[in-house]
Amino acid sequence: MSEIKVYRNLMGANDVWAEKCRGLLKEKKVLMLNFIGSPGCGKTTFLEKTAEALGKKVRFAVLEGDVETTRDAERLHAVQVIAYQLITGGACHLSAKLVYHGLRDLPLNDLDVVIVENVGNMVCPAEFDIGEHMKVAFLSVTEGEDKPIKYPSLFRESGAVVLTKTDLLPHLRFDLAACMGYVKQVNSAVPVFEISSFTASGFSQWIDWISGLARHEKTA
Amino acid sequence: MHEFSICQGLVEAIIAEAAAAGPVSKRVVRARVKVGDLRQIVPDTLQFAYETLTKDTCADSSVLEIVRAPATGVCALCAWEGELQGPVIGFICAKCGAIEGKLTGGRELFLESIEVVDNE
Repeated sequence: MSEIKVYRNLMGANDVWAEKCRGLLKEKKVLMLNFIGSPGCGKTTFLEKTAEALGKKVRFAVLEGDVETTRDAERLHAVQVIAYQLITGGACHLSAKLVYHGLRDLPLNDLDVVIVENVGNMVCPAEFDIGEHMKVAFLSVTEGEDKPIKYPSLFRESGAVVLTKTDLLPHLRFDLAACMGYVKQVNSAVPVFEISSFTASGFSQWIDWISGLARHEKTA
Repeated sequence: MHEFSICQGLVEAIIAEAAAAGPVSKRVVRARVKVGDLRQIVPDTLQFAYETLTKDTCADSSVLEIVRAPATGVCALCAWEGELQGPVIGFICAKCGAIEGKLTGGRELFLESIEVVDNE
């Protein structure tokens, strides 16, 4: 019997495609964000509202990840957003390879930002690099304030947190201060955007932030 | 269930390494992987995926040994550096209790070695 030392990265196959995505984004000077959160936390509604608020300031497109159907891409087409649907056919996360193929088909020369809406899931997508500049964690106030410490990997890996549905706070026993404490415990420096896609509260801070990142990428 | 996706890469790597191990065809009897504590990998699920995905390959019935790599970090306030204890939610300094710090280890995920025997 002989032992063979290997030291081979197990995410290697995915990482090769993630690097391809990064190369393409760098060449085209396009920012890519990876939205991750549970099903129903308000990611798609947030994107509809973002399209409205961004207007012509920032040109953006969406890659919609879902297990099945093209419903989310259709919702975004309805608000004049370029959106392609990536169907995983059962897989719980988007792989970098699938994202690369979507990315390659987008009119990247005419874009500033690509937003990938990952499959609704707080666990698996956090483990897979898709070549994004930043992961953004989504949490709605109807889910419970302790989610950041229950799913720490996602919040640890994210460069920003979006807290959605805050217009519902008066009707819920959601402890906002405790939630913020949990986020800080997991990722002490991460910015948190408290928003409501229904009333548009919090959107100006979000729009300023994403516009700033996109500008940075254009001049980098 | 992302363990299956990850395990697919693992099994492909093992088969490729065994094929490259010499002129005589090899059978894999053991594979050792290092998995960081901050990875959301359930060992039992990885074992199950391994058993399933190695079926009828040169690694059929081999042992998967999972070696854990602890989460480590550096404190931004007092510069303490070391292994974090217990289930790690985020960085917390073992010396001064600060949460401002950087996680430096615990995301490892690689195939460390394989053990092979010649096929009869």
